[in-house]
Amino acid sequence: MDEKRNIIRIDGYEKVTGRAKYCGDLYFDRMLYGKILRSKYAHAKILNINYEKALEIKGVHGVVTSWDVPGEKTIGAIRFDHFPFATDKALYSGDGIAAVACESEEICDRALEAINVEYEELPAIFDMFEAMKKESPIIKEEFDSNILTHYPLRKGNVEQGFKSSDLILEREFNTQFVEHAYIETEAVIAVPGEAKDCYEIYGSIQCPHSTRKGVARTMGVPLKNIRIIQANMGGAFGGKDDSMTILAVRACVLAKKTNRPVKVVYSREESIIDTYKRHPYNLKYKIGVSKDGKIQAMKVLMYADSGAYLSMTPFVTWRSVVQATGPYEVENVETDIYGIATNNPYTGAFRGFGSPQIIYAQESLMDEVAEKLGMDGVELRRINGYKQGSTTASCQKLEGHKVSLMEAMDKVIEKSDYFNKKEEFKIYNAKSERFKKGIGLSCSFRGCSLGAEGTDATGAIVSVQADGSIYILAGLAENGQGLKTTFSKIAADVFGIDVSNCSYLPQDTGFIADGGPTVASRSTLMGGSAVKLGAEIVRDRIKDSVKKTLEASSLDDIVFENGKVINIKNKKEIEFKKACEIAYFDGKNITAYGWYKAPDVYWDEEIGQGPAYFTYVYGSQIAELTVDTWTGKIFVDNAYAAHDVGNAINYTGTLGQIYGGVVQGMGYGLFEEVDVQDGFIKNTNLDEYFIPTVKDFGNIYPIVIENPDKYGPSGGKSLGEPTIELMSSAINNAVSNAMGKRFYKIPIDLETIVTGKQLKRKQKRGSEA
Amino acid sequence: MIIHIKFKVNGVDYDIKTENNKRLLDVLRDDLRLTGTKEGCGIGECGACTIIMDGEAVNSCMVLAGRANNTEIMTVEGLEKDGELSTLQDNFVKMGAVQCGFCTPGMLMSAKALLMKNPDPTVEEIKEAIAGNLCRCTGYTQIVEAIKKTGEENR
Amino acid sequence: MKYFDYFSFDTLGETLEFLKKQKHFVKIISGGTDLIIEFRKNSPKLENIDKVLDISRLRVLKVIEEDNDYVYIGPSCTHTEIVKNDIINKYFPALVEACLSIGCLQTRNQGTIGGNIVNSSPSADTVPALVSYNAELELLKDENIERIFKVKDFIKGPYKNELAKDEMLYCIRIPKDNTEDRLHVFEKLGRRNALSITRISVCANALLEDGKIKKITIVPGAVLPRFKNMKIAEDFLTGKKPQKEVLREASELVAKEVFDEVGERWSTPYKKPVLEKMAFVALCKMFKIEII
Ligand SMILES: Cc1cc2nc3c(=O)[nH]c(=O)nc-3n(C[C@H](O)[C@H](O)[C@H](O)COP(=O)(O)OP(=O)(O)OC[C@H]3O[C@@H](n4cnc5c(N)ncnc54)[C@H](O)[C@@H]3O)c2cc1C
Ligand code: FES
Ligand code: FES
Repeated sequence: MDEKRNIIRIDGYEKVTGRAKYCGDLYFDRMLYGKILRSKYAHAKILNINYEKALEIKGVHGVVTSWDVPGEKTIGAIRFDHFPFATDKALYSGDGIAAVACESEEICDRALEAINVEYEELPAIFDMFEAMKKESPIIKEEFDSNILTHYPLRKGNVEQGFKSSDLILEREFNTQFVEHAYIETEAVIAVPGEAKDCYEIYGSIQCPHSTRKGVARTMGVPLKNIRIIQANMGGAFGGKDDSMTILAVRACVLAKKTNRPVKVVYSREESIIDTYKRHPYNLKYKIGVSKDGKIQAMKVLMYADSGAYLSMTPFVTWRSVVQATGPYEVENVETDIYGIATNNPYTGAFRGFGSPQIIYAQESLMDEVAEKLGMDGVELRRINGYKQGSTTASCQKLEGHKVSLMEAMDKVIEKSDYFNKKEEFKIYNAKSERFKKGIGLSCSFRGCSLGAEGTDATGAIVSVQADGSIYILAGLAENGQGLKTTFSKIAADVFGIDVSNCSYLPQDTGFIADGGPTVASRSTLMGGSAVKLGAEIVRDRIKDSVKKTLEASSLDDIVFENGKVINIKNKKEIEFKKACEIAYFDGKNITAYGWYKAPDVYWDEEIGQGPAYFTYVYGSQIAELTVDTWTGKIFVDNAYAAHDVGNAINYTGTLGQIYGGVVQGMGYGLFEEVDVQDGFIKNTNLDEYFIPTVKDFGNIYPIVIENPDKYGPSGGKSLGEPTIELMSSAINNAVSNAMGKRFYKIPIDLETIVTGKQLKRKQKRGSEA
Repeated sequence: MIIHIKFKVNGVDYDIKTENNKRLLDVLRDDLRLTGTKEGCGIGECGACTIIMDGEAVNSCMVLAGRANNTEIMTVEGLEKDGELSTLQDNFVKMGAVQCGFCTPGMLMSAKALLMKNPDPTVEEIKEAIAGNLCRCTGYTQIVEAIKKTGEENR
Repeated sequence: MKYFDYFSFDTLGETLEFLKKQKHFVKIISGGTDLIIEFRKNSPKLENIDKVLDISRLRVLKVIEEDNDYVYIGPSCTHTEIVKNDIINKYFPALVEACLSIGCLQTRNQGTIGGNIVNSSPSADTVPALVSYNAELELLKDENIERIFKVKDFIKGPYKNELAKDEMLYCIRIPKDNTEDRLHVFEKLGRRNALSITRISVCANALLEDGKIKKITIVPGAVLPRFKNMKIAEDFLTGKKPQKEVLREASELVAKEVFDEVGERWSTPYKKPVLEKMAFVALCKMFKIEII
């Protein structure tokens, strides 16, 4: 590894000493604790809420319900359809009915028990297909059907395509509800401000500006009255967005009622019951290929369970529609995706954002097609895979960046010794009765940033101090992914200094403009660019001030390197520090605001055509595993992951993103499923929701590919999400390779391997019997 | 019911009165304001609350306050000496073992407990020692490497 | 968290005295790794309990000793302490394996063998090992009144056992019975490789004489409401040479005996074939027969 690029995480010190304050670690004077009462039914009318008894308990300071929400009753990033406090109706089992503020969490528990809610249970729908039936009742009154969204995509003529195919394959896949399972549960503290109707909100909030909008709207105050201050985030993975707005509203209403700071920290059970999940998908693929392996047509029909609220369903499903046919050139495509309302827990943003589901299905399908054609999956991918200048399903020509799909595949194949392993395993499997070994590959392309989903712009403040140290404040948030370090590195590089000179300030809506959400792996690309622009503005101002000292005839002769500012013509140089001091005493403004707006993209919603994203990343992963066919247990011995990251600005961090994403991907493919039975979640803690431990896989080999992108800062682009989207299909393909048998549903659990299907359980803790 | 506990935390003697049905985790966080120790599940499944009690790594969410009487406890706050990071902490920072950092205190305490008994552990021994510490961010690899390197530096 | 008062005494005498006085409303706590979860859930099992009695500091409950016939294990020994103990390693290696398979290091450092037994979960990992070694429990009421049960009789069903309200588990004693000459195995299957409640386990030990099985015990875990020996398979194997096909047949008998008793459940289509395979794997491992 290139030592110079092994930069040290700038927030590492506080995190290894226990000094880093997460929201739950903050205490305020006169602070109360809050807790939420949730619905007893998955769908019910709320007839009456009686909390007189709760108020009689010593230490209870306030009880609030929907009535106490002073402004609008709803929030929502896309549509205002989500009630932080159920108003008239509860739509899923996690809906909040009331909240209490008390002197301790214990008292909160007792207060909640003392609240009496009268419900009228309503017929509930837990199945998407049931929900779509004409005779089914409409779950959400503000929509005219249970189909909340529909995105089509049409290209060419699929019927024609199927006619000219030699092989047509139709397969149906299903994916599950998945929990983010960040180790820090959701936490917020709402503090009444000094000025009237003003509130400060601290929290593990992924998108502070979105939360501010929701809180201001429900509190009925202007945006400026609400200040959201992000505490250190104990992981988010997309999961601390609207769920945190809901929580912030609840805490804020309690703070208003009691006029005291109120802290609400969800227990793990509450976290799992209350907040959104990854969308379960039902996917029906029909593919036509000619004998030589050229894909002629693809027809894809997908349904996503949105649960009780819309949340991010439109954006998530939109990404699915853009990428549904995978990184392959297909002339004739017909894709439809529907987002369906049910009374299940709601679903929303989760690392991958609509891609893990489709990649699982479509990459599993590719292997099966190849098998039917008598070729290796790799060969089929080589024939159809995107190359420079290829055209996507939405007729976007891939140009202006390096289309590195083949490079990613070649590298991962070489590193894993894919073809030799396949042969070796054949021999091994023929001899082995119990254990079967397999190897499987998958690959993907992914649109960077928000794409035509939304307005894509963000800002950053770079503030150089007179002594050469630097503050950075950006509109995007550190969620653990290392953004503080990456952004600091980008600024430091502009000034030719070491990152340790930079300090990244916590995100605070009071000080920085709304830079859009920290989602869609857009932080490096977008935020990094804004930081770079800001830093460059300041750099040019410093140049101007030191021109005389360095006797430079042109500003272009001045460079910033190794902590020095140098005139390359006459070799005259001064310390960077000194240069800052000169600029400072020169009366220059050495603080600047960088603002970056993404290049324009466009989408025609009618036919699903257009340049969806301004640039793409490519990746390929391989899983090599052993199946214990006797018990059904699968162990991934080795995983290989090749990703084009543009430029690995923070190399250690880049590896960390790959390792982390791959392991989450293994969980997705093998262990994880939120077990929702009749709208209620059965596995509400980490004893029954299984995320991988360190002993559940062998080795991971990351391969970092760098083809700098003209849009990214120093060429860097997305990484966080591509790493999680490939492993489940690589595993599925490896399992098929091992067992000569295909599976169409994840997770591939013990029962699936042994009996061919998942077995539904009604289980109690400690007794799986 | 109020109980009286005397114990040593990070070398400092404490003599406190607290509610008897608190967990040691609550005593550390709420009473002593040593908030480095985290809660991730409350049922012994995540290891975020790991501390070292009389030389052994234990989950402080599974220990009643009264049980801590007359014990000697070490938390993440006790790792740094005279303003200098320990080698273990330093390696965590340098080798990418920290992302969001929420599992980190527990992870460090499990690693510390291992290194106290076994100064230069193998990869397998490291995995066994941190198998009860869930991390959702890092995929564990760099954590194992950081502990391994610390061991090698102990040689 | 359920509200309770906390008590802890320095001597066994005081502890028993207290227990006797309180009768129904007290719950003994040892490592707490099962009980604290119940408290947190405010479990209905704890309905009338408002006191906990912490026995973890009683030194007498933490000893491991042997005499000519028995090994004596204090119930407050943690799984880690058992794993590290030489006597246990010498006589009962399958118990060591069982303890090692529990949860994670933190759980093993805190959880105790006594707690594992008295909690009486069908998936308690030490229990099949203890049953396979024919272990017995000494229950104490006050310092003189002692009842003795075999572990397999003590546990009456899932989370149900013979312990009286004012009684405590005082000692686990295991007959030596030539165990150091036997072969031993504990095989566990969980969904993950750590932090995993047992789906199925098989514990066994056997004594060979002239290449033939002289004595064998096989006890599965997490498949039956009560723990018991697989009599049919044991009888079948006794006197035979441990060859692959014989072991395969014995494994079928194990699965048959279990599922004849429990009948068909949601998990049977999985558990039945897998128990059979697990038994086969365990037996082969014990007799050092390689399978791949
Ligand atoms: C993360 C995690 C993972 C786990 N994994 C496993 C596993 O893989 N396998 C497994 O078998 N178990 C597992 N367990 C369960 C648990 O750790 C064990 O059952 C442990 O041995 C219980 O011991 P304890 O001392 O903690 O019990 P406690 O919680 O203290 O007590 C359990 C019960 O025993 C009673 N009791 C304890 N000692 C006595 C005594 N001397 N006399 C009378 N009554 C007594 C208590 O009153 C209580 O009813 C796990 C638990 C956790 C939290
Ligand atoms: S909080 Fe203690 S183990 Fe999770
Ligand atoms: S670093 Fe985030 S959970 Fe481990």
